[in-house]
Amino acid sequence: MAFAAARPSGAVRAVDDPSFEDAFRACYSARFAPLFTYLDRLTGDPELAADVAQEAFVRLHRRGEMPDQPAGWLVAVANNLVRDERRRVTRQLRLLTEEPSRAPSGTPPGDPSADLERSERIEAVREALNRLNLRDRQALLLRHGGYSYREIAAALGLAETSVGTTLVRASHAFRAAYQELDHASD
Amino acid sequence: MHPTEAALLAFVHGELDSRAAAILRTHLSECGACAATETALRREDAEVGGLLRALDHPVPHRSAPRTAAARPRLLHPALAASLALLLAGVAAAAVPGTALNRWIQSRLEAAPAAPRTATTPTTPPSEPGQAAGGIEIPAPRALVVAFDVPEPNGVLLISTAERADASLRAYGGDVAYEVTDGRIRVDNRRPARRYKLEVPASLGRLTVFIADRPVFDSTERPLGPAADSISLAPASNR
Repeated sequence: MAFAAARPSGAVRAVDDPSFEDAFRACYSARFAPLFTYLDRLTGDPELAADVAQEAFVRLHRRGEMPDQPAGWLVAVANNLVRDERRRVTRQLRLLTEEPSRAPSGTPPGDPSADLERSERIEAVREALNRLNLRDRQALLLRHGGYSYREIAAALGLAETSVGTTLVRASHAFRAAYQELDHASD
Repeated sequence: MHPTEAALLAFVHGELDSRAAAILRTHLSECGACAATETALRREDAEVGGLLRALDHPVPHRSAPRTAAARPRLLHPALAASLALLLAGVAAAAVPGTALNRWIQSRLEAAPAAPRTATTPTTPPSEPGQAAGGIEIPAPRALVVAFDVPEPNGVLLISTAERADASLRAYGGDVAYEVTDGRIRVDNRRPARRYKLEVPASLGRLTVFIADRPVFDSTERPLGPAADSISLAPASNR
């Protein structure tokens, strides 16, 4: 059968390699949760985070071979998806600035004062994160999501030797911003 | 020479190799200022980690086979649009002289409509957990045929009997098609996973085949203006 359609070059790769399938499944088991957590913290939108994480894995599967740094590769893809999503007006304002659509885990029901305190803390954390530039924010979230310096470098296009400097700057700035916001709310 | 804060933080994070870590550990045992800095960095790191954990939500359960074999969940209609691969069908339809464009033009100039014989709708059974693949009619005069799972043995075949326009899109992958006389034959074996063919609800007849098995025929299930859907049975049942 001769299909006449012009196909985007390089868009299709056979994905029937058993070794790839095994590696993919192992990668999914190990990396979905960290990727989701990173994206959840980055966006403040767990549904978006889950969708983006899943889409990143779909793209990895479609790729048909494992990259050198799967964790970094997945984050890089996910960051691009989030960036594209940010450009969408309908969701732009939700990112990092809106109340999460679901209460964070561990929220006990029926305790208004505790809920209020927790909500204020979350707001302060988000605001402090927002004060960082995007790369510092991403690096900080990746590090505290369990990513190694090498993976952070791969994900963000940084030299591995500069990750430490980035993290020191981001950590100091975040902590200072949070303390300022926390004191202001007292 | 004192280590930088970055080196101390890398030490805290366990990112130094064993030799560098040993050297730094020795230095910390001899340098009170660096030891104090290391302690402060360690404390700050723990504090930041604790604050960030306040943002966490439960990790949703999504199994790898579902991710790998089922349709990719579209992020959002707007994002889905950004991810949509505007494929050869659409491009060809828009470009004069292409096969699909010629086909559409021929449809626009085509024969009168065949009589429609509406009968009781016959919907193939859907599988539990199956992705929402199938045919849906989201708005009057818009028919969407969507396969959300790869169909290893099948093709999507559209035949029309009256004026028709058509567009073809695939989400998240590639698609190939062949235009023959009065038909668009879509190779659904490629990993696009999600194809849509949009044609006006006014077309005379729409048939969908998986391999040689008809799964949809608009003469049996009229294309009404209301939203409708039909699920395609998975390949394992064929």
